Amino acid sequence: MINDWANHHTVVLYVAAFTCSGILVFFYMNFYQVRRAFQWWSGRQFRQQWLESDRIRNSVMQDLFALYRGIEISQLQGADTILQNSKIWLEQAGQIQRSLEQLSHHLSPLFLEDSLPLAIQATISDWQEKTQHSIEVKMPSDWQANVQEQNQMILSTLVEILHMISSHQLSSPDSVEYPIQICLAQRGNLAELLIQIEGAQSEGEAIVCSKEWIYLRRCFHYLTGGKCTYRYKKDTLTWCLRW
Amino acid sequence: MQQLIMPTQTNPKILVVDDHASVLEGTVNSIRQQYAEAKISVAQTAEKALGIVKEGQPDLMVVDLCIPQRNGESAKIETGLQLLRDLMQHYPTLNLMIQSANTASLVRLKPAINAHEGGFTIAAKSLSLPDMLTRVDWALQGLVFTPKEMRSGLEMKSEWLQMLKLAFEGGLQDKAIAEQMNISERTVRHYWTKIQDALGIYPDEGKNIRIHTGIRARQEGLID
Repeated sequence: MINDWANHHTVVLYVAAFTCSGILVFFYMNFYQVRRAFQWWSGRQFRQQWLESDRIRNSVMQDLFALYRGIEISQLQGADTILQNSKIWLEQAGQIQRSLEQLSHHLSPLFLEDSLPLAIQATISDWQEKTQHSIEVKMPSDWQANVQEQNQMILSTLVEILHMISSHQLSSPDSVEYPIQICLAQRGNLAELLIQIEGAQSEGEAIVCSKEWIYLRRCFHYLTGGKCTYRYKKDTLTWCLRW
Repeated sequence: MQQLIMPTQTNPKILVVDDHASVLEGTVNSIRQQYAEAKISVAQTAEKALGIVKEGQPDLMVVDLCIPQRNGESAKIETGLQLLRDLMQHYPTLNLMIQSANTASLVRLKPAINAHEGGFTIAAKSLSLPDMLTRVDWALQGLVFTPKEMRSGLEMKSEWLQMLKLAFEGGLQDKAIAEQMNISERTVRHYWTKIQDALGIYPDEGKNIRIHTGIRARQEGLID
């Protein structure tokens, strides 16, 4: 009987040790996966900043240099030249102003503090101008204000998904552009952003199987407390962001 | 407004390399203020620039770092850096002035710049016209100017120290130094520009650059 009791407790101890090990391994794997996701996210943010810095150096600063030199040279050549060139300088100054305005929107999207629907519309409009991709947008006319940082995360996630769609379309053999629809809505006390793409079966599969998609989902979950999922229906792939 | 300097050469052959048309025009017009009779050619890609140099080495190349390799390609700093590597390798006496908004990247070429025998100056695009033209003139003279950030500490090669001792302790002139060190006079002049750049000494009106070099070398404890 004592032996039975000892055996029983030994089994219980083994099971407990095994369970604890399993839990530790689970937490460690989870920590490692979350760490990888944040490293990827941090890398993406750094890349965006680098691109903006590159745009400043290769566009705005070049225009400013041309304007500055033009004024310096005209000063040496006298009043007539100054008068003659002033129209060119005004055009160059206008161009610089427009470039800086665009840059400021890249760094902090328009309407971010005030209205998520308007911020999404402005971001999509910018994206369409850059990529010539046609996107249908359905935004509500009323919207409860979100925290600015949360809005930023939602916009960044949206842009990352559009990047994934764009890069997979470019790398596919036929490079067909599939129609995209974006819809923001309130579902009870949750907000929902849907990104739908029709007909892109193979590209959609490639995206949802990619590690970037896994990292993006994790980052969205940990930074907003929300969920980022996808579903297939017939030949339509829908990404769903809920927070 | 600061006056432009008297150039040491009046009609040099200059090649300007930049992919922005307005910047190219501004740079060419700037150079014309000081070198009205210069023969100035332009290139907007690395490929075209190399092609022009192969036809005949110019007296000076003014190069932007962020340029495309050929027409239709995007501009990259690495393309400009590779162009400089190729130029310094195949044309070791070519005078170069780097005019760029990205001059920090030049630190990657530090060993090649140190070994280059031609003039090498760096001008950020934010420089005033007179300062930019001064750098053009220094490069045409075969001088070296690199920003302080690129010179980490006082890096003196043994041959430069030997030359300083021969010049300031032995009192030798360039020809005698060349014979003593078994190198060409051109190399002796090249060493002078490297030493002066390392000590932060550049042409200054009213100052004798060699005497100034000797004073600084003593202050740094390089010679007795």
